[in-house]
Amino acid sequence: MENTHIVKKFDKNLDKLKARILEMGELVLHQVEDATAMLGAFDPVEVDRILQLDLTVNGLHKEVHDRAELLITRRQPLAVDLRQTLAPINIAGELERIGDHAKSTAKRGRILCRSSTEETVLEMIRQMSTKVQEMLFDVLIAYTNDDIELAAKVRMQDKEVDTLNKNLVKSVINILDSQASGNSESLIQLTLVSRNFERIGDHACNIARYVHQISTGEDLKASI
Amino acid sequence: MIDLTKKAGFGLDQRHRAEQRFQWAGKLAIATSLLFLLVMVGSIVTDASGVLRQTQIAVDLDLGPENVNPSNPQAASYGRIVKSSLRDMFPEVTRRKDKKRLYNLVSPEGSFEIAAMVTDNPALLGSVQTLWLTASDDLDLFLRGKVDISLPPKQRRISDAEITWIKILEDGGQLRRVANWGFLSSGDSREPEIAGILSALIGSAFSLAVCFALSFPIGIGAAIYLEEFAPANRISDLIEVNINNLAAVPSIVFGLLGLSVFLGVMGLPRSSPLVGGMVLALMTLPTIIIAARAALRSVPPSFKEAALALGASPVQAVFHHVFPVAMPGMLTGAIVGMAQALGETAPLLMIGMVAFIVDIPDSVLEPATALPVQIFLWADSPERAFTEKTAAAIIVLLIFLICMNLIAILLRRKLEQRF
Amino acid sequence: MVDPIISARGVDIFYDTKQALFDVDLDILPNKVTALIGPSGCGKSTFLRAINRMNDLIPSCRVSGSLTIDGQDIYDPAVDVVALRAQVGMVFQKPNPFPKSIFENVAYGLKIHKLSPSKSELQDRVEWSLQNAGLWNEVSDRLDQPGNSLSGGQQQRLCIARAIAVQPKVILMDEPCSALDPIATAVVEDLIDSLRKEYTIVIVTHSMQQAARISQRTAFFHLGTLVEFGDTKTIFTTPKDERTQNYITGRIG
Repeated sequence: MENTHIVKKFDKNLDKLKARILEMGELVLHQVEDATAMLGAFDPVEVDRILQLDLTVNGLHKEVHDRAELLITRRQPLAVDLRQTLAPINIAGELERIGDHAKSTAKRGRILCRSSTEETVLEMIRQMSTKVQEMLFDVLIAYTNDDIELAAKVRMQDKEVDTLNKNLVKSVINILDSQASGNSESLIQLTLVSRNFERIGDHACNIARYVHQISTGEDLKASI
Repeated sequence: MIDLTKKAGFGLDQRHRAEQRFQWAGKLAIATSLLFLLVMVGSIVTDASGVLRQTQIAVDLDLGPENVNPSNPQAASYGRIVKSSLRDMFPEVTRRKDKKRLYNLVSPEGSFEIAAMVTDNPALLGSVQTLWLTASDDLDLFLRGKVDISLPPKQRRISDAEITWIKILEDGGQLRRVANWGFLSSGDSREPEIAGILSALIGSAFSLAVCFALSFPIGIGAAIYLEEFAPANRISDLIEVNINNLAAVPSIVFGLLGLSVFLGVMGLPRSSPLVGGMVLALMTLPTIIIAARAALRSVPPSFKEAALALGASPVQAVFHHVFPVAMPGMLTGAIVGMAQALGETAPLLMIGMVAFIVDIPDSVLEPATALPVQIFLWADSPERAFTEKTAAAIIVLLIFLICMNLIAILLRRKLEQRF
Repeated sequence: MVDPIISARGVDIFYDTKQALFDVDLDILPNKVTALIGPSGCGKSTFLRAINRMNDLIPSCRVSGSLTIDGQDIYDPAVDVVALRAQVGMVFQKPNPFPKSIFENVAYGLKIHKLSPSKSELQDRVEWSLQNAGLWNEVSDRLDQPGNSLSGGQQQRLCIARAIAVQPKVILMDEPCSALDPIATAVVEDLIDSLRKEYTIVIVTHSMQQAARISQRTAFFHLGTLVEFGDTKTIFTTPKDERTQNYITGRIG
């Protein structure tokens, strides 16, 4: 919005809300990146740090919620303002879930390190991770700039993640079918990790929907 | 530390002093005006106090058949009877000049008093009766100590001989002082001891009644039309300016108008309260219109709006909602106008209400005079006793005014609606 | 689609030479609450007052274009303004009960229009009006007391009772709650919502929240033009015009 509010504090409040979301997004992005790194080279200290980070993310989630609540009480926002106030509550929720998935990924890294892992599958997971990180980054940019087109692009990318996930499951099944390998546990864990990334993609996609809703007031949940 | 004392600056000392100065100036102004009022009322009341009582003198009158024909008592010369009785009381008085002074002890109206008493009570006829007659104003003044005896006899209205007679009469119990109801119940007279206020009072009441009956409905009607219905254009502006100007026109001009139009053109009876009231109504109209318009303007427009929005016609809206609320204010304006009219002399002089009128008017068409004119006439008379009458008439005028205001206040209280 | 009860086409309103309203097209649907919003001096009150010709009180006011109620032109010379106002009631910003008793306040409209010939009928109508205005239970035992002895909110409901007593088709409300506290406002808003079943209501309000709460249709006026008109939900969530957006979100437009 190029027009500023008559009440200057209103703009500041909205800006702060946005800043918290971006802060949260950045943390979560790092969480995902770091958790992915844990899959190949496990580091218990790093895992603890990631788990610790999740608490910060949860704290931010609460702060966003409180700020939004206060803003509604004080300013009674309407139209685009209302969506700019309500969307962060949902976006923060999505980000918090992404953080949970990152946490879960990092935890699974602990189990994976006990046995040898299938490198091809791991590579596919890394690919997925890169993809969702890209989506997450883009959707945060889209949110910052109210960029509906970028948000639409993110929503389209979700399909790629889904495809990657499906391919991974297929290859795991193939491996399990073809050989009686001893690392079936790690394969299943990797499938679950893959599912985490697939969910992260979904959450990023949801955020993209919220970005679209803020600008247009149109709820895409029922469509695409 | 915040200084909350007088030393805090802000020119506090000076401001407080200015405040004190103003308050003292105000108190002084009120005290001065109260003092003036007190002096005025005090002097009027002291002057008027003499009118409360009158002196009567007991005279033995021979009302035998040789003096009064019982079949026609009105034809008798009571003046002669009084004079002979007085002569009998003071046989030593022989000189003509002294006799005249002796007769002067009893009011010249004494003979009419006897005639009235005889008419009321024919049993008095046929023998010698002792009757109380009104004493002359000079005797009355002397008894009340208003005559300066230290002056040489030529400079006072009462001679040494008279003083002796009065002393004798007083000692013989032949003088008494009684309440002077005659002042309130009789008309004007050349003789101050007899002169009363009633004809002027009735004349004023009639004039004001005519004035109110004409100016109130016309004034209120004009005000309502101008304020609520008249289109806002040049003509309305012109009318408004003229009404405001009329309120400032000297009242004598209205008197001239009355003289030429009401008496000259319309030929209405001269000196009558009808014409007086009409002239006063002319004078009062602008005041009433201006006050009524102000009262109408002070009614919140929301009442009218609400009524119109309910579908009331403009006349209904005004008469159901604006008029009742404005009524007390209009009444106040009308009373102010009436009070002005009551005190007005000049226009009444022009239409002949200044005539000497003894009879009490029975209708608005009979000649009458008015209170302020009566006051003017009495103040103009040479007899000393008329000074007291003047003061008393002023008090009657003031009481009349207070009564009018009282009625107005009561009406207001009854009509006033809280909103 | 329901036929509109009031329909404005190309309405221009002038005060002397100053134009207050420019080419307004607006359809007001029956049994709906239509809110007129906009900054002060935007012409919304002018438009409201044009509907029952309260503008006639201002000599310099001139209306052109077509403004019809139930198909009849309000400004047709054949239209009697008294008959029009009997059909189009009005409630004002400041509660303005007459300085008379509560009963007389409600009965006034019935009396001047001679709608209740008998005394018992009059009493029934007054009770009915007060009941529909949600005031009966509060005042039934003191109908003879002055209307202005009531609280502000009660006074405003008394004014509504007075307006509905003559059973108009349309009730115009000019900021009816701006002088009331939040509780009284809530009661009046609830009343407006229940009156919608019987009457068509057009309300001018400065409170966007109020417009959003009680109206089904909202019109946004700006500088004498009708900028946007549509479902209240749409106006307050996704206004199409940027001026509307700026106004309702409190932005410098």
